[in-house]
Amino acid sequence: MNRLVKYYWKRTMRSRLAAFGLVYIIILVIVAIFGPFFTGDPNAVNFAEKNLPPVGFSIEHSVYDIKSGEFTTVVVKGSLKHPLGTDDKGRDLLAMLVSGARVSLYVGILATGLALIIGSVIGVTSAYFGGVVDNALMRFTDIMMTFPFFLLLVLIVFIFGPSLNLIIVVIGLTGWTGTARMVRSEALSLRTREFIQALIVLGSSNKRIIFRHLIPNVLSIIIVTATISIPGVILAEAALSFIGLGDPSVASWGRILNAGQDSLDTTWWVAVEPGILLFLTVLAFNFLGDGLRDAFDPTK
Amino acid sequence: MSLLEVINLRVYYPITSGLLSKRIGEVKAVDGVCFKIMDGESLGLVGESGCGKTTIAKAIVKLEKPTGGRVIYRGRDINSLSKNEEREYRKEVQMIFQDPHASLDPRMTVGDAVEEPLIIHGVRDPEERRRRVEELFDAVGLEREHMRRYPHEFSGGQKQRIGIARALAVKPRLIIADEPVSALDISVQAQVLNLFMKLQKSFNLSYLFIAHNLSVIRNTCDRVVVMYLGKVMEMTDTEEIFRNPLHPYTRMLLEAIPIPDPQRRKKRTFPPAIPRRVIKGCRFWAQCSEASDRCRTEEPEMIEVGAGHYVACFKV
Repeated sequence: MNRLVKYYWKRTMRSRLAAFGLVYIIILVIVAIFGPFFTGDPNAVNFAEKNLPPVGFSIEHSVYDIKSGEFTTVVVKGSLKHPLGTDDKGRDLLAMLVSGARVSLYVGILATGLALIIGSVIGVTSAYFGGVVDNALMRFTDIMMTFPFFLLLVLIVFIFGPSLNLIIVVIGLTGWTGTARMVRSEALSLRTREFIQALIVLGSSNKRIIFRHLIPNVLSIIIVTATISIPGVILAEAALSFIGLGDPSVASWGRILNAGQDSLDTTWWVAVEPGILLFLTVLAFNFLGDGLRDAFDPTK
Repeated sequence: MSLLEVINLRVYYPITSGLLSKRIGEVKAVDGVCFKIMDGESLGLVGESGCGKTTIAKAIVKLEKPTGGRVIYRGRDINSLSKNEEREYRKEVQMIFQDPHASLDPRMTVGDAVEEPLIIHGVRDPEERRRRVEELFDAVGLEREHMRRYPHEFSGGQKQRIGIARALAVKPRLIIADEPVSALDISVQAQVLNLFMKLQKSFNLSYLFIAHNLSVIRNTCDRVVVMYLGKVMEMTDTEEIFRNPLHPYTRMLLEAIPIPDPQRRKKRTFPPAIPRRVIKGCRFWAQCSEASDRCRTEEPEMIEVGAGHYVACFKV
């Protein structure tokens, strides 16, 4: 392994929270990739086993008995067959959450990746060339920033219909502004450093300076921004699904949350479980981001 | 034959203000400077901070666009070169920077940093590049084993040696050294200066050696140009400047050289400089002990007082 990478790895792992975040994320990724092969079909409906609580919990159901014409109370216990319970259509929540992890990470990583690529190229180009180029790109960034992105998302989903990839593209194409700003400010200070000037004196091409020197030097900022913006994107998708504008063909955490919110007083686990997962995931990415930021900061 | 000629070079920076960046004035960083560098010569450029030394260096390596005047390299104006000529120029003229730390990419091994100029200038064979980098490491007195280390693992003097190796990689003829030792410890300064002199012989180099301290120039340069606030005050051989300094500013600079003897304390208080925009006439009169009324109204021309000894002062 590259020695610089090793050095920053050590510094990041000094923070326990960052280490926790990383471990959590690694587990989540493994589960998202391989989990669906082991859990059952998340869309298998089974009304005989509907509204089962998670294992270790029990819940009282009022059941109308046709013969006696009376309501009787039945205690339903969670079983190991559905360790996290089932929803109102008898679908296994574990299977749904595992496939939901796949969706959430897919959205989070792809949309963030797209936003970061656009943001860093615009930021570095803007800083390196300066002058008119800088002005034009930064005013464009300002305009993009003032765009109410969530409204745009709602509008586009409303017009074109909900599709996961469309949501990713929209988040990616609108979410790069902060990155562009941050990368630009860092690249601006780098540009005046003497090693960049030395490269110009050596006759290096702009392409080489930007891709071999400026981008590697702003990489720390890009990585930190990535870890901090992934949870934002995951939450945005969840929020979109929560208000019913998500892709109905995939069981994302937001959609499960949405389905569970009506029956929070009875089958609370349907909403609480994806909620806890979202909370932990966002927290883990933020911890890791904080740890990385501190590791890259030489004054800490 | 002169290798590089600077003719009436002027570099002004605009002072802007307000939302629309209205130009309200300008700083004349370099205000009509002329000098020549002969083939194989090393020319010293001295003057205090902010007198325009670095700006001249940047104009020569085309990091700064001159407001007026010309820089002629081997008979060609460097600001009207074709693409191929520009490429050639970028190989023949190299710069060494003041801050050795900032002049290396912190995320690139020093071996890669020295190799990079070879890649830029189209040395395709990796074996040959490797061999050349090893030779350069030997030439500047660095260990070959250090090629895989990163800049932060080196001392200031070593980093400056790496910077020198990188500049030498393209086999330049002229090296612009912008205060190459002023960021280093005194003990290391001498080593790096000796390296400069050794390399001049073995690589057949010419130098433009910038310093704010005449003692650094003494052993390294053939001729000296003394600058003050964007203009040349005096220009002559190094020996002559120490034996027979004519301009009051040169004498002031010579007096500022520290003497390693605690018994010999000198009075070294000089009146503060006045912002140049306020001054008419000679730009040095406010600090000059010999200033007359004429100095306050009229700017002295550069005159040749002896063989190759030029001074811009009414008093000589």
